[in-house]
Amino acid sequence: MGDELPYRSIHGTPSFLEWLRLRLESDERSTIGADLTPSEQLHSLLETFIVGRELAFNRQFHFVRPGERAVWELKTADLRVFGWFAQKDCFVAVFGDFKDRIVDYSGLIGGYRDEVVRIRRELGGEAFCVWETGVDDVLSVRYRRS
Amino acid sequence: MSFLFDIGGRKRKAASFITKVRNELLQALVEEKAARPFSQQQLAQKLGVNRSVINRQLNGEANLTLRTVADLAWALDREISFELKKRPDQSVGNYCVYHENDMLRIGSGQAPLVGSSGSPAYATVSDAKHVRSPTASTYEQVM
Repeated sequence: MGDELPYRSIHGTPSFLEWLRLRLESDERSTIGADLTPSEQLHSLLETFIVGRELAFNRQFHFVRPGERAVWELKTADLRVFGWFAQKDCFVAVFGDFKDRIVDYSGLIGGYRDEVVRIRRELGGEAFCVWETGVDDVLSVRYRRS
Repeated sequence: MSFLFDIGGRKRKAASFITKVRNELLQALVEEKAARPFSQQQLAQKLGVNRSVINRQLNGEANLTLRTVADLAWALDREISFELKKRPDQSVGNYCVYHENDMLRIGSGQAPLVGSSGSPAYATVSDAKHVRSPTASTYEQVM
């Protein structure tokens, strides 16, 4: 991250870390022809998130999206990461998957959300959850141009 | 337990640079929209492409060539500044793990969360491992 210090944090369940490891090991190409590979997209996403840069530019271009029951998605061109915000600027990642797979299997997104809710409950995370659904409720931005 | 998300220096450089360029373009688009009546459709028309092309370029779904960047900068009425600089020494005190390995270090430990009283508390997310934590104890553990 060069000379930038961390501003936000991401936590991961063991299954999410395993998924990250698989992305590193497989080093696959983008399924949609993006210029960054999935692992490069993940690096960019994690770096952007942790150093506090903008993730929601406007209604159209946003790389963080609220879902039902305070389950959020972090997005790259190829990938989706599902989890919740334990507090502002603190994300707990539970699942990751390819966008194409989620689109192809229409029940997956609901399944992922249900599982995030279940795991959050099991980990005692219901007491540590940002329930508001605005991007400003879950993310502050370190660098914002006027 | 720590997890090291290391894609290697070469990929890291590419990912950071391409993302930075894309984010600059997005920021410029947001600024133009805020400053005057300006839509993505107008941007696309100015460049003689379909709006979906602009979408894909700015969403990271399509390649950003140098020509594309120049075209978008022109359409957004922006100057481009580009410079290759020698890499400085990256010692950063408590975060010297970056100097040593220049990686996105993923540490372990507990996240300090603020309880309802406002005083620091710890989450009982005992199975969750930090992907990244800014706490000093995590860095000590990693180091």
